[in-house]
Amino acid sequence: MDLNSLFFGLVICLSLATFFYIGKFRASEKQRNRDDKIDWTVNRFGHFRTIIWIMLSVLAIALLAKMFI
Amino acid sequence: MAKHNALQMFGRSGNPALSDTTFRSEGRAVGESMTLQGTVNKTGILLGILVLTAVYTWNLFFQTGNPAAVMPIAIGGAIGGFVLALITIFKKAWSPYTAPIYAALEGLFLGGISAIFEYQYPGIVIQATGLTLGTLASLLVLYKLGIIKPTENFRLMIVSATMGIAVLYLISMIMNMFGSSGIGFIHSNGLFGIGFSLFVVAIAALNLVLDFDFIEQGSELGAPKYMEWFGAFSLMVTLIWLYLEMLRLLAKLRSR
Repeated sequence: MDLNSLFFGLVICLSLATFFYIGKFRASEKQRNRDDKIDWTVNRFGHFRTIIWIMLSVLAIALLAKMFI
Repeated sequence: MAKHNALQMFGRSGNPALSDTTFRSEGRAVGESMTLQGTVNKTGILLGILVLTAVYTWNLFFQTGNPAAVMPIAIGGAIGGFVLALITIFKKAWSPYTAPIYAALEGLFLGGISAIFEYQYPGIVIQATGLTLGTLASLLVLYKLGIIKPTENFRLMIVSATMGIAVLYLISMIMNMFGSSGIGFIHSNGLFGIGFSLFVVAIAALNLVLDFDFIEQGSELGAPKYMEWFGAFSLMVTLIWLYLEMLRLLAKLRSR
């Protein structure tokens, strides 16, 4: 096993261990008790779904154009 | 605000996989509710499925030595995964079924693509995997400790940048379809191309912070149990994007 595989293999193992261990704990008080937390009650991106559909439509039109031109 | 009202009105995460009614339409769980442990476990299951199917296309490439043997499967996986992702985004209650299939299909795609990159640049896949998971773990620690604080402005910035990148990629893809070389700087290995890739990697990584916040608040507010699968799915979408961008960045650096 070369050094590259050894080093990045260790990084992968440590990262997965960190994710599975730390992930199950709640965030710190400092993170949870903030005044500037994301306000999930405000829908700032209501047009998001529309944008996805527009992009899909553009892609579909381009595919059709490619097939027939 | 009362927790109940908060859940009824819950909005969207900045992650492109999450729609504007992610929790708002789901309400408070009647039976079991979403937990952090459950979401982490489900992320592990999805990662396992992804690796299993990735190994299949990876081996297929190295056994045949022919990209043509894996490309139909990889492209099929990418298109199938994209369709499944859309279904999961719009039908969150189906995520316990659609998320594992999504992971399996994306695994077919990633295995094929990774094998081709590995053949061209030996050692690149383990580097990209290490950097992706290293970023995940580092950002999770920074988030849990409250060092990175996702705010409304943060979310606005990340969502806008993500949408901008999506539109740019779409234009480049359409230009490619009609014989043009696409938007040159996206794919170039010059300083500008590498700078662009670094920017995209940073935006993909910061999307992880929004995922963490989404999962944290979802479990705190008692979202339905199936939202664990949806939370795990949204993490997977970001991780797959980050991994692909890491691969592109490393390939650009190695090809100089």
